[in-house]
Amino acid sequence: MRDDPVGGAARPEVRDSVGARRSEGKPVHNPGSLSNPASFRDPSGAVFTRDGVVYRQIHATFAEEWRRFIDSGLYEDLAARRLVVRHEEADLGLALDGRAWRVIRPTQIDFISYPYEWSFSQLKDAALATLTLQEKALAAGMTLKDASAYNIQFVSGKPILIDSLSFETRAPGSPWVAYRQFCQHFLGPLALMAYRDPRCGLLLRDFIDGLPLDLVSRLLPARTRLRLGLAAHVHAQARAQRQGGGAQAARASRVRVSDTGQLALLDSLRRTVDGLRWAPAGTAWASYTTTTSYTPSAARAKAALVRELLADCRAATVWDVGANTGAFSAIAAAEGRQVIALDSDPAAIERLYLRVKSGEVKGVLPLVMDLANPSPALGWDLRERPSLLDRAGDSTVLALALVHHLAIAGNVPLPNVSAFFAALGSELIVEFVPKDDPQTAGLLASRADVFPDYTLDGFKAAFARDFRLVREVAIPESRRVLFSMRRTPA
Amino acid sequence: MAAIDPANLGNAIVHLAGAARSLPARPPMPVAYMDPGTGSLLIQAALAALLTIPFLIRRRIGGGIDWLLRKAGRRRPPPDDTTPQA
Repeated sequence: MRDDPVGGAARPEVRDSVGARRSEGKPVHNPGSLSNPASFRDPSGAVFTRDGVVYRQIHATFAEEWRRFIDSGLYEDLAARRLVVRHEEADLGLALDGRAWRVIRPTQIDFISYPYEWSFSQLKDAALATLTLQEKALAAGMTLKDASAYNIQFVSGKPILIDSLSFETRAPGSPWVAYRQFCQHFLGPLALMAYRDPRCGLLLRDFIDGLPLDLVSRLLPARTRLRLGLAAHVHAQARAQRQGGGAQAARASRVRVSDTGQLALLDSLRRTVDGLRWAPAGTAWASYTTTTSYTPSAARAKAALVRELLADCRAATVWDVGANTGAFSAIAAAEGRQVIALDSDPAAIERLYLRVKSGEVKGVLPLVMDLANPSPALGWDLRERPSLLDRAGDSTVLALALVHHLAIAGNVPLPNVSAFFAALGSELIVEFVPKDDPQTAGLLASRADVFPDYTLDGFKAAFARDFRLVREVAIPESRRVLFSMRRTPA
Repeated sequence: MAAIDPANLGNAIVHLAGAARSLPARPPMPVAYMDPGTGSLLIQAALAALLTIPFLIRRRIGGGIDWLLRKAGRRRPPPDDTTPQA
């Protein structure tokens, strides 16, 4: 597997969970250029940052393939279709080390997300985009040598390939080397999400190189063996994989697949992926709204207050934590902010993504994230996939109707909640929902109240450790309070 | 549109025969030395060969439908949303 991050994940400095700044990479040869810790597997090039800008160097050994990618028109075609990230040539003197032949500066991606943070339709759209990339590559006499889900990012609600070094010349009759990776990164997880539970996407956290197909085959219901695509690409492939090695390896080295055969394989994969469905409606997560505890006029007043408080914040990025279906994400996005919307409910994020995809909401990246257990650092040396906090830059944190869930349902003490928000961003808009609010009372209905500090004064005292209060305003027709705060220097 | 290539059918038979002969008979490899990519390559070749004929037939039918729609003055939408952006 080879996959590369381009963008926000590669910032030279990041703030860790206790607020200290630390270096994310180390200079290799060229002082000032910092290698990206996720890029070490790539023999074709390397991702690095310099002065906060992400660059990619192309190694001399990959020069011929790169020329073919450009000269064939494949790059321009894919970039025009917004299937691959655009780039511009940069000064070779910026290169990370002496292996460089060219240096390019890709369009910067605001925030790098990972497949285990995507909803069902996000993963599905990324899969279909990968198949389209391979089809276009075949037409140009090339092939996509990597089908890693980590090479796809979402820009304006559309999946886009960020690793432009993924294409190489296809030898006549050669099979698709990334077929297994595609099935492990996309088809297997999607099948489990569709047939078992959308939360199965979280398995990708444990299996960073994609879900082993023998595991997928065992977990899928028996009836999926009757579906031609899944029977072939998952069940039969899992069985074939168990026999790998020895004489089989010699036979595999002689495998030939015609051009038409490859197209037929891709067509079958596309039909299989396209046929997988998951509709949040009718599930346990069927009803959503962020305003159930508000009268319509109170909901309007809250929206106006949030808009007003946001206007006083400077950060270009807003983290809407506990975003639900994104009502307030849309408000922040409409104010011109880049919004990262997090919620632990896959159905809520699915619905929000579909709104983003349709163009109804712009400037929002929805991600499935349990804030009580956010994405950790993963991979080799725990540096390949940075944690959620390691990817946080300076931002405004929007935490509406969330704190009572963390503090009471999640048993997280208020000072810890405050520290977590302080690690995410320097500006905070937070809502306090008191114990006598029907929503909080519901959380306490079946358990002892062991939260004596969960009061308005306790809330203010806890958050005063990390933040300076800027404004406090009661939400009309409710007992809830909105706060605007700024992080105090460490 | 690509013509149906008899060689594809031959490939399919060869690969399927090879896969059928090897899969059930061989004892599983020790996990540490197993290369799942080997099995994936073999199954890919077999599937590609097997799927070629239905794929070509479907394309021919699709081409016929497109021709009829063109005759009727209507066009089908493209199969994916990859229209070049301005």
